[in-house]
Amino acid sequence: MMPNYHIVAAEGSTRLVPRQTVPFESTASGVIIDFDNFGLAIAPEQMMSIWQTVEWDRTASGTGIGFFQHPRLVIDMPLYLSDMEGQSRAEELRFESLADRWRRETRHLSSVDDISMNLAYQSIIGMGDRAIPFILRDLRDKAEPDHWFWALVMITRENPVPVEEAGDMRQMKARWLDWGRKRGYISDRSNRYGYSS
Amino acid sequence: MATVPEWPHLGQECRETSPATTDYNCIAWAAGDTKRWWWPNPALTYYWPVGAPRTLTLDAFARAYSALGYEPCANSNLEADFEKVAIYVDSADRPTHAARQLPDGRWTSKLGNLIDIEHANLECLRGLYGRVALVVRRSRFRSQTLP
Repeated sequence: MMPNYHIVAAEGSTRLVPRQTVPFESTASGVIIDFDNFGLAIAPEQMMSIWQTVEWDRTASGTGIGFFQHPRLVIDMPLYLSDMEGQSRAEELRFESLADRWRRETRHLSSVDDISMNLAYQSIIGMGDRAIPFILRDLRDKAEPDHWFWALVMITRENPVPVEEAGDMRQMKARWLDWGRKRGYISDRSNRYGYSS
Repeated sequence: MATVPEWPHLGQECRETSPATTDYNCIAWAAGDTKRWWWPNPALTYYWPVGAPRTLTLDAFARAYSALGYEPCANSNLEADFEKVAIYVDSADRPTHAARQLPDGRWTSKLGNLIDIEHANLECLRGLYGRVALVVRRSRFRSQTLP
């Protein structure tokens, strides 16, 4: 007997999707299913349900959650697509996926030129204003500030860091977080993982 | 032993000397600065010595170290009275990395956002940072002030 599934808990309109094969993108934080130009975010705890029930190509090179390599996932279940909340979560997962890739590919580099020209980093810049809260939350929640400053300057066309503080990563982080709080992009509250900056 | 997946051969020739941090990069570390990330980006988002050009050229890096008393020298051989810095460039002659020589002849490097290491020679970092294009030196008996 097939268990019940609750794929995306989102309020608002939902849509029943028949059994089909859909492309997906795996990330460190979950899976994004791209269906009919509609991003569907699936968190890790929800992936377990999928893992147990999909027709999975066992020849795929992936071996576990978060490490799927196969380009297509066959979903054999009622699938409800979420509305704006799901889209927002999908964007967040996309950001996290790009940020993870950027960090992996540039962590050994000193060159800000090479760090900033990385394709994943440029894709984040391409997200425009929608990336700002994700970037600022990343800055707020990580102990070691990452090189988000060029992306923030490019997206916002502002730079709240005075030139005498340029290169002081922690002071630059503080300046940008203050900028983000004043504009309502972030708060001081704990992040969704339960710890605060 | 250092464990840096990008350089599987590195473990045989280097050891980790500090935990990972983004507070500073290799260019700053070679200059003795552990408070700032140095880079000559024109947008002024990172530190670069006043007077040195904010261009991604070997000359700009030579002039940045010149502001600290370094001058070009012939090679990376150990000279007891001098501290040396080796500057790496990529295939397009764009600077990528700097390493500072220690009094015993070994070298110390900061690896991007990662750890500091000591390494026996300059060649072991060529895999990702390219070739050493310039070595500069200054007296070990100088004042320690940063610009």
